Amino acid sequence: MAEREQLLATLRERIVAYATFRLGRDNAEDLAQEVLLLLETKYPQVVKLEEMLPLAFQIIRFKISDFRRKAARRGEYDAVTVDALPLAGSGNVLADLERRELRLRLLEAVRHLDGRCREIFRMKLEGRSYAEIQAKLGASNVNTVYTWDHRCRQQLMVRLGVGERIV
Amino acid sequence: MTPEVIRKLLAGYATGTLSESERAELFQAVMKDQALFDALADEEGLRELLADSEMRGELMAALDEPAQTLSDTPADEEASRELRPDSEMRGALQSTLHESRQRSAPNWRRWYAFMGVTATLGLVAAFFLTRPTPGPKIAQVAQLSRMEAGPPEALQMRELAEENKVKREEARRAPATRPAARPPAQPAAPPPEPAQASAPVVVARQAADALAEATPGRVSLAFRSAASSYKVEQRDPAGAWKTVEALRADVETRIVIQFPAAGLVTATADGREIARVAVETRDPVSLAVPSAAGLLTVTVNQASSGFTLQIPLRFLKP
Repeated sequence: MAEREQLLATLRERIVAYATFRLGRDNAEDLAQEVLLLLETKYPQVVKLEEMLPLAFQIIRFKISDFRRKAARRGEYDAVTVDALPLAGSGNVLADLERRELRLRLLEAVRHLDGRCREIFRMKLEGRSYAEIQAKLGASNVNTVYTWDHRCRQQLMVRLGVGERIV
Repeated sequence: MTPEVIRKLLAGYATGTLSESERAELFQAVMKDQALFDALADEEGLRELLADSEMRGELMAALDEPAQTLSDTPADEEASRELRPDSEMRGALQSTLHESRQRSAPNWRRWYAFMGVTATLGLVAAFFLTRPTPGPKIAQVAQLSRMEAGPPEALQMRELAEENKVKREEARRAPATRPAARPPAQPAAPPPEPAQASAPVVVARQAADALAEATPGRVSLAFRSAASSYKVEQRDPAGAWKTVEALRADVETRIVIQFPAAGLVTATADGREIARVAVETRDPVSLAVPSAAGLLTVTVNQASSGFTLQIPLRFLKP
């Protein structure tokens, strides 16, 4: 349990830093609190980082989306209750719109990928691992595939209009 | 794995390409690196989209299509067509420009109209600002009824004025007479004291009923006129009247006053009446002043106003 506590504390720091840039300091604190509360109350069985982090990202995404929707509607930020939090498959109109927009941009971006990137992306969509891709493309080692894919991702992000956030 | 390699694993997160060990490496790094955390959090939308099998199918179909070049998209095609210098495009461009000019013309007309209205308003404002403003209106506080029937004082004024006129005409016709005995010159007279000619003190009189009703403006004007038109003279050894700087007590003295309006003049020297004459407009009145008189008071009663001159006199000690 101590390991989980430590994990949640670190996660809180990361969430606050992430949301401060996007929502402001006070809202970031609230957001981190709500994410941790949800993890604590609804997902107490999640202990491993590999499980907790994707779950946290999902909650963060929905919380931010909800924040923006409510802020746009009422001009203020209202805390979302845990029970009212709509997770995947909700009827959130704004999220649906975002999803549709991203889908169209992704389709358009994929059509402009060059030869090797198209091939790598296709194999990734087929569910192949990097090791399989390496073997398929005849790369000397997997790090080469990482580099190729990293460059392809940069192309894709530029096409999606999120090039400034490429790491 | 080096941090640089771990950073490259981001590309495989959204598509679910990472193996268990790669995911673990990435997540461990994410918890230490805020930039990596932010990038992964921003990737959540894409990951969710790619998790949808239907979307994956659409993307696979899109990847099966031949790769699009810059001119393949409708927007790019349109842009490249605009760059072609064919006559059709030139004509279309010209018509577009013409429409644009036509659209902008009413805006210019509106702008000119606005400028015109502004200029007109400015001119009107300038006219009103530079126009000489009329003086303050004098509010009527009381109505003064003019005396129709001549009161005893008015009758007396008229009689005295007539008498003065006759006397002046007689004096003009008669040869000038000099006083027989002239006071001998005083050879060893002490040097006269410096003159202390102070400005006459003018005090409004409000005793009479009629004067009490007079407007201050008129009284003030009469005061100013009277104060500037009197002179104190003394007869010199040759017998001529001259204005002197220092009055001598042993020399005949008179005061000549020119009044701005007709009225009854009463003059007192140190409280003792020395003259009571009726004057007409612009008529200079000459009054004999007793020697060594200290304060000469000249009161003028007019039909609707009046004033009093208080003239302090300072005679040299003999």
